[in-house]
Amino acid sequence: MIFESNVPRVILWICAAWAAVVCSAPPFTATQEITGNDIYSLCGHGDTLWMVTKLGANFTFATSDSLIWQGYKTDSLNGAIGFGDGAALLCMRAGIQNITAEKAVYANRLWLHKHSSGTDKVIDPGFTKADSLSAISASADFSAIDVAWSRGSFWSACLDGGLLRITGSGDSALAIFPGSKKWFQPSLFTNGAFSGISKASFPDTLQRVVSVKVQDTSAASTLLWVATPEKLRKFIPRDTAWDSVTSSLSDSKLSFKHYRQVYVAPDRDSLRLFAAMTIRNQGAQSDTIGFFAFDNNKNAWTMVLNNLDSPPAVTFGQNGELYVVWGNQIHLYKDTTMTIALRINGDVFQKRMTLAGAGAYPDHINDILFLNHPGADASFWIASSTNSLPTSNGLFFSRGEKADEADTAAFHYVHRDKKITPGLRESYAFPGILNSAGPGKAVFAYNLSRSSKVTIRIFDWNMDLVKTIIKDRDRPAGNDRANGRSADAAEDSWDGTNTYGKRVAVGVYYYKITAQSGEHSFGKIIVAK
Amino acid sequence: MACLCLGSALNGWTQIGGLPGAYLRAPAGAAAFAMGGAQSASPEQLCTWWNPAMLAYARNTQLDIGGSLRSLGRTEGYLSLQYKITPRVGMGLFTLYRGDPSIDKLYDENEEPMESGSFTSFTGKIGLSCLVTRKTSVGVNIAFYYERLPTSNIHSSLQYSSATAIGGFDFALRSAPLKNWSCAVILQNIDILKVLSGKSATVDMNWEIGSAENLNASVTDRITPIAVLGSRLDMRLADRPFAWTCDLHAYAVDGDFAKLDRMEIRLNNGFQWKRWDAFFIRAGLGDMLLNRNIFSNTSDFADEFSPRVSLGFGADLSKVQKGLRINYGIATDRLGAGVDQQIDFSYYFH
Repeated sequence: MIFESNVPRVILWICAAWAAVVCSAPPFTATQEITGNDIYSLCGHGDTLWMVTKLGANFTFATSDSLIWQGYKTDSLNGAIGFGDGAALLCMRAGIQNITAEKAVYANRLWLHKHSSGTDKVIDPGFTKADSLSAISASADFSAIDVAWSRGSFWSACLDGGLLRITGSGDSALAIFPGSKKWFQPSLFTNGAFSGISKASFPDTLQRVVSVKVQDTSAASTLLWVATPEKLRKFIPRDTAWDSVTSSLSDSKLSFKHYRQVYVAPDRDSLRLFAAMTIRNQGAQSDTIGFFAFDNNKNAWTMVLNNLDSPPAVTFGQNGELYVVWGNQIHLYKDTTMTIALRINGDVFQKRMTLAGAGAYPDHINDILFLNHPGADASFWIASSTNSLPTSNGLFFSRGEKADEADTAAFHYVHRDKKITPGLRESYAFPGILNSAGPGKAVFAYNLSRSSKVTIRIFDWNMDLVKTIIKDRDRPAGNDRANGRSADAAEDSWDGTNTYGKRVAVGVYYYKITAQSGEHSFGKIIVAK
Repeated sequence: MACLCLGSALNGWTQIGGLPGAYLRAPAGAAAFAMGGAQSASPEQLCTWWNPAMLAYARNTQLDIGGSLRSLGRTEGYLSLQYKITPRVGMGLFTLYRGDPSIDKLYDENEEPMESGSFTSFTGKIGLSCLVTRKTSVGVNIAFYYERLPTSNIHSSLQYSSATAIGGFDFALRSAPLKNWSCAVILQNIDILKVLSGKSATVDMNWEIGSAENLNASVTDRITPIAVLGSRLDMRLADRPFAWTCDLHAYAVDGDFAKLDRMEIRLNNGFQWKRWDAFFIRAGLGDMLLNRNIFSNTSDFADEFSPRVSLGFGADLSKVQKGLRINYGIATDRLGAGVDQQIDFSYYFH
């Protein structure tokens, strides 16, 4: 009887254990190429470069002549990444797909990858494990949105969860709120409320931690700059000491609203603080985002850039130069007077490209990174993405970057191109489904075995001609080109319209690629408007 | 020649490619398929599809079942039933599946492979016909349309959307003024209910297209109306029955009932020769585009001129089963990707 009565329970435990294993298994697939051409964030130190793409994460040894990539495919990353001491910490999206009442809902998970051992670990600090969708929607947001590394620990800005410290081994995770001296276990902060801890002990509990940066990673002790929406604080973990910085703006016509991001120059001699803030101009009806530098003499913030769409990407050069992305251009400031020394825009970019036309100026520059390599030329990296094919997106980099337009290093272009069988034995159009949420054009990918004139036509289900995309255009053999393709992405694309420029009906369409050399290929495209 | 003259008056460049309801423009039925899609004046099978006015001439109850394999994975299947209600009234039911069950090699914008998808359409028609005089009949269909296909890719999984419309009408008039010549006029895909309520006579296919960014984007496609003129001339060749059929498909307005920038005419021609008592040989030349480019811009015309060349046969299998017939057709697919084939069986109840 005992046996019989315990059977369901045993089965339940086995199922629960299996579910726990499945849920905790890293949802990553290893690859030897870059995981995607839409690249959102960069991080690195020494000779290592990490990047987060739309489809995963990659790292490489940035000093190598030929970049050899290690990648992990996943759609779970939110873009925040930190790297140090041979380990990378990448933040994952809050929540897991297929949320049901039965499954655990992760509030804040992080993925730790250690280079030395090649091991991975998914860390769940334990902020919230709601047991239903309604519970998670009612609770606070613990998403990790910024990560920094210093002296064996990662530090993560976890919004309502405060500042999280994770040891380099990933075995321990403790949190603290700005202004507080008490560390707490994230698991005590469940469903947006404390369990067994007096809320009054944490003066800034209601303030989110939005940004964390390390001042001088080589210093003897860790010194962090932690931004809440209301305050920017200096934090010395060894003493659990907090010290705040004024939020005053030097321009009286501007009023401070809240902090968005903080940036610290890695100068050892003097402190150089920068911040992205939400501000309001006098008389204006709405808020804007501004980029500010802290003026130590005035003890106030001075605006450098106004009207940003979002906090800018910032990196610091070898000699303290400041690079800022603004208006999809890279602005270089050489000194503390904050006068623009150089703008890297489309024209400058094209002049510096190693191969003309190999990488057109990207739609969105998402992140930049200046990497100092001991004993080798420093490198400068640009992460980009696009939302309108066919525009080049991917990674651009230079070696020996000079802070001078007259003597600039060439940009190289890194772009993942799927290998295509030559001789038109393989072809496809991407994306294969054209809809309003997509890039608006389907780009044809094909590889001719030899140069030839090419015609591409689109037909509907009844094989009525819809449009001639190109007719008798010269195209080279794919293997003669760096990307292994014959297609000219700008011309060999279909926007889902007919000969008269009108949008075609929802349906499946067929294309034919014909080369005068006798090769031809067929394929399908779905138009969903 | 008359068709050629009429077509040459029209502006160049084809326009119907990409208009809604492309799958409705292909011929159905192996006999008609083998005859280049020229079967409107006096169809011998699938009357509900080709010309509902012919339903009044149904001698017996007739059941047709068939299917097709086309190039690039396109498939179809159909079922038709036509029968006489009274001596002057006939009725027909017709359902047609057309689709592409294997849309593979799909890649997303990051060139990541997606799973294979499929396109499915169902068209149903109910027809009614009445003899007006001994030589003239009229008919009407009411149609049902259904389409389904993947419209987005969310988390590596294809998301399907579908659209349905009920109420497309076909109106037909068929006459046989001479003993060996019959003709027909048919208007297809007209929503008469909307006409009566003062709106444009369109058949609306309403899609709810989901994506990660926009869960419910509404899209409306309006099925293109078609006007068809049909003719059938019965003669004798080598002292055997020989028929020449001819269909003229005119596209003058789009689904919004707005005049097309370029009106378009397509000519289908078919031949049927009853070489032996129980065996028909068929041939056809369909989807011949007629427009001014024939004379003024032969280069563009050559690009767009892609007729369907077809062959086929029909055989009476009464020795196997009384009332049973088989039809087969094979045609070029107009694209050079392969051939299209259709086969069907007709059964006449006695």
